[in-house]
Amino acid sequence: MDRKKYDLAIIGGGPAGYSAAFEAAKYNMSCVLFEKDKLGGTCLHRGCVPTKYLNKVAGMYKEVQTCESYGIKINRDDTNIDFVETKKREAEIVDKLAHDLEKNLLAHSIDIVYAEAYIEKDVIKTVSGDEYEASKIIIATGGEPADISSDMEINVADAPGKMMTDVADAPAKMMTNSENISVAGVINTNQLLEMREIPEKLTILGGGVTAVEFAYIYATLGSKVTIFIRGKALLRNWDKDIVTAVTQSLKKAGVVINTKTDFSKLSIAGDEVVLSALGRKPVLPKGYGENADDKIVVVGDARKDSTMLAHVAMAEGRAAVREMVATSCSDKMGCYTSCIFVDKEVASVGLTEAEAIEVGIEAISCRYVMYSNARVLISDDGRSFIKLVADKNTKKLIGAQLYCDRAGDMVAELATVIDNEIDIAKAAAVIRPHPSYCEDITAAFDMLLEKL
Amino acid sequence: MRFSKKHIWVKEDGDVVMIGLSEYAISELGGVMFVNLPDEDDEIRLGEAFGDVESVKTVSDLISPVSGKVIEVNEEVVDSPEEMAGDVDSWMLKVKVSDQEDLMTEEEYTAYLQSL
Ligand SMILES: Cc1cc2nc3c(=O)[nH]c(=O)nc-3n(C[C@H](O)[C@H](O)[C@H](O)COP(=O)(O)OP(=O)(O)OC[C@H]3O[C@@H](n4cnc5c(N)ncnc54)[C@H](O)[C@@H]3O)c2cc1C
Repeated sequence: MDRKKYDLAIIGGGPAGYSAAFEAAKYNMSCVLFEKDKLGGTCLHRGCVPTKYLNKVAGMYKEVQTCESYGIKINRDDTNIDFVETKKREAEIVDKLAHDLEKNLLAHSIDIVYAEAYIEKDVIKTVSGDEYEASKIIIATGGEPADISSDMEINVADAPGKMMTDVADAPAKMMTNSENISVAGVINTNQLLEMREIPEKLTILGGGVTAVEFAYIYATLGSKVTIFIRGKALLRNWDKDIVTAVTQSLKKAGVVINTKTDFSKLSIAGDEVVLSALGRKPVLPKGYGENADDKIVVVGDARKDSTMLAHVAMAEGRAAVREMVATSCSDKMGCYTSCIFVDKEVASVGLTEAEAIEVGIEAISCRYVMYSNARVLISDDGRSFIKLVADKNTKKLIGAQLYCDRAGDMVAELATVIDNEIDIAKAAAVIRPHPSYCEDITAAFDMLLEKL
Repeated sequence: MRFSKKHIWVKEDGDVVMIGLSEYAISELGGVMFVNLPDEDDEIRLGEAFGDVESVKTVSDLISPVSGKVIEVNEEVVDSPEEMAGDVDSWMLKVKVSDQEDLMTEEEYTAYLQSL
């Protein structure tokens, strides 16, 4: 059989895969990209983009309810949400991004094969029997929601099947089968995003970023949201001040948070939608790992130890290609940023104070609270802050945690300071615009300098 | 009520003590916007920060005049910090004390404030 030959084959068209493809195009590598579903992956279709869209919708809904204090009179009796319409707009945005992504890849002379790919020896095959050869292979097959683990016997009294897609296939009301555990009535994040109605009651298992984001969205849109977590607090591994702030913001939105839950004893009434946001696991193509092969690299969420962040997946995809062409640039991965979207944005980069202390760094931190920031007051954002962490000995910035509107954009500046070990006094001296949120980065740096 | 030089008041309440922020400190800050307090069961240490208060002006550490284990946190103060006053109702923590610094009486504290 005639095999097509490429410099690079990429399996998976999510952020990791398409970023690798664009990078390969820069170096004039011939490149084929396999995607079994839709270009854009989890991020575009079941992750980042839909959740940020829904966060925007929630924010707009809240603004409509509070706009009278700004003199905008609306007919309150008519305020409601047509969620089918909401979801239609979401699909339009997602489709447009996916369509443009395809056009852009093709414009970069990347061949796209819409098929599930697997590896046999060093050949890549698709289910339809086509075969491809490539000098290098990047696996960017991403991840999927993890099954509920076997130590959890969640008892759902009556599964409200009407709203759930896969529930009809789930075998029993309560089931603990170590192979593939599914609990009837418990849906995953993919299924929640498919719902075309706002659940009256939403119970969320888990307290990580995804749980927090969905809790805020649906509580703001009117669901009665209850979170169950095993631990003492939400957002394990996040800075303590961030945890406090996010917890308060969720409570303000009406979310009930139950800590120290024993999931083996958890009993759920059954008149609610139950979402498991307990974790994700990597997906790998069939045939991967059967032969050790140094021409194969795994990037993004498909990696065992992935950060489960789209922008890190993208950076890994690009770095893998650069490594292949081995240009002179040494590719040290910088510190990475991570964000949470609730009533405001949360952004974190580098080390938290606790993490720094744990690895033996003499850390100094300061928290600048933006009570006098004009933009915060104009938007009635409430308590917002910038926290900075520095190494007392090197006098360099090693971490930052932000809780304010636009934190997700502001944090990149702080990542630049950390990655390039920029002198804090120099970073403080940058003339930032007024009135802005980022002008308080100056104030935060000044506060830090005083402590150093 | 007895006072520390760091403007924390202490009042015995059975076998635990209540601690709070003095009226002087609250007015010096120009009002409290937010309070960060430890969790129940946390250990706090004499001379170290057990939390902080935010004002429009700044963030100020709360320095503990006692060592011990936190028995209870006043959620009302956490939820409405702007209503915090220097009185007993505005207690922040109840602590089971293992160690305590020498504290001032009300008159001594007033004299101390005048010396500042
Ligand atoms: C609800 C939710 C919200 C999120 N929000 C954010 C956020 O705000 N910010 C952020 O940074 N991250 C977010 N993430 C995480 C982010 O979506 C992932 O980190 C990112 O999508 C990982 O990219 P990837 O390319 O490695 O994998 P994926 O995006 O999962 O893409 C993998 C692709 O490979 C395809 N594929 C798999 N196997 C094969 C095969 N054998 N053959 C062909 N194709 C195959 C899949 O169909 C898929 O399109 C969120 C995740 C979820 C679930």
